[in-house]
Amino acid sequence: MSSSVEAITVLSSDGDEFKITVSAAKLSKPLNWMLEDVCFSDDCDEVPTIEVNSKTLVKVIEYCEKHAPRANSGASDSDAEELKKWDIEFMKMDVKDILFHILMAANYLHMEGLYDLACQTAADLMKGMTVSQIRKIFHIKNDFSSEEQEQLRRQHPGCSFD
Amino acid sequence: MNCLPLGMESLPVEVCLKIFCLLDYQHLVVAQQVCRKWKLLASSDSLWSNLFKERWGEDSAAFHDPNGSKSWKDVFEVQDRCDRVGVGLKIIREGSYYYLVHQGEIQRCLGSRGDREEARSLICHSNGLERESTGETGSCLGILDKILFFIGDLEVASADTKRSRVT
Repeated sequence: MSSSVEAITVLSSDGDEFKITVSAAKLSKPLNWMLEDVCFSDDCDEVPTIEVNSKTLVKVIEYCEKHAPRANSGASDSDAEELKKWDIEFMKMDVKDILFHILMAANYLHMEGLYDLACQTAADLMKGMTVSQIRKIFHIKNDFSSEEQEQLRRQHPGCSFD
Repeated sequence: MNCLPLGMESLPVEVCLKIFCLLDYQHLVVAQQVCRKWKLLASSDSLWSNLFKERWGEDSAAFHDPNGSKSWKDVFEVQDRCDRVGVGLKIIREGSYYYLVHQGEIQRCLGSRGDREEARSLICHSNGLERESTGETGSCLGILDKILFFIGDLEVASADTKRSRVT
């Protein structure tokens, strides 16, 4: 890899081009391997595709760029605090629409920090919800028969279904 | 490709399990009732043995290890019930159902008030001719149920006071 390259171009699964700085790309193991293996000099016209759609990739890159300085150099506690606050705000945005895409992307790109954050967000979302609210928000179909449902009701009587 | 809402059903098993790992007892019980896949995943032994260890410690978990004879989830629920109502033979109410329990294990479901009333009114109204006689048996049953349920309610109420006295 040429040391002069500071950012690389990647394609989303919808075919849109995105720029990501090298230090940010290093947060993902597969991207890091790619950086080591493939030549990313200016005359290299190969653009790698990441199997993540554009809307999700924008968020993933935003996360990487924000976290890259700290991941690469280490940071003080106050920075860590600030980053935590930023994470919470980051996850607040239209989470329901793209949270699962982010989860899948973080899993696929082996990004531990983002993966943990997205899992925690999904878990927090579920807390305090009833069964039917969870089904609605997570787009899950109720595939229990009425007998199974009745059995569940008996087994977990303290639970609210509605 | 557009950004379709992606359902949790389509998430890989390991991702679901990772999320379930972050839930506690009550939320896992809710998760189990969402769909069949979740029921299976949220019942997994690894989740429940961890919850058991967190709540009652490693030693207790080693002592209560079911070794495959039953699930960790069952072990957890029995232990939780022992904590709540004690180990003796009792009639308790959970939600709207009444149960006979011994050493934390449910021996029998006695039904719910709503259940019995529904069944009784069905018997009473299904046959106009025999209404009087059935009605009589119905009310006998009703008294017995009411006594059982009353004991259950009493148990719940006294358990609450006992607990609040401790805390």
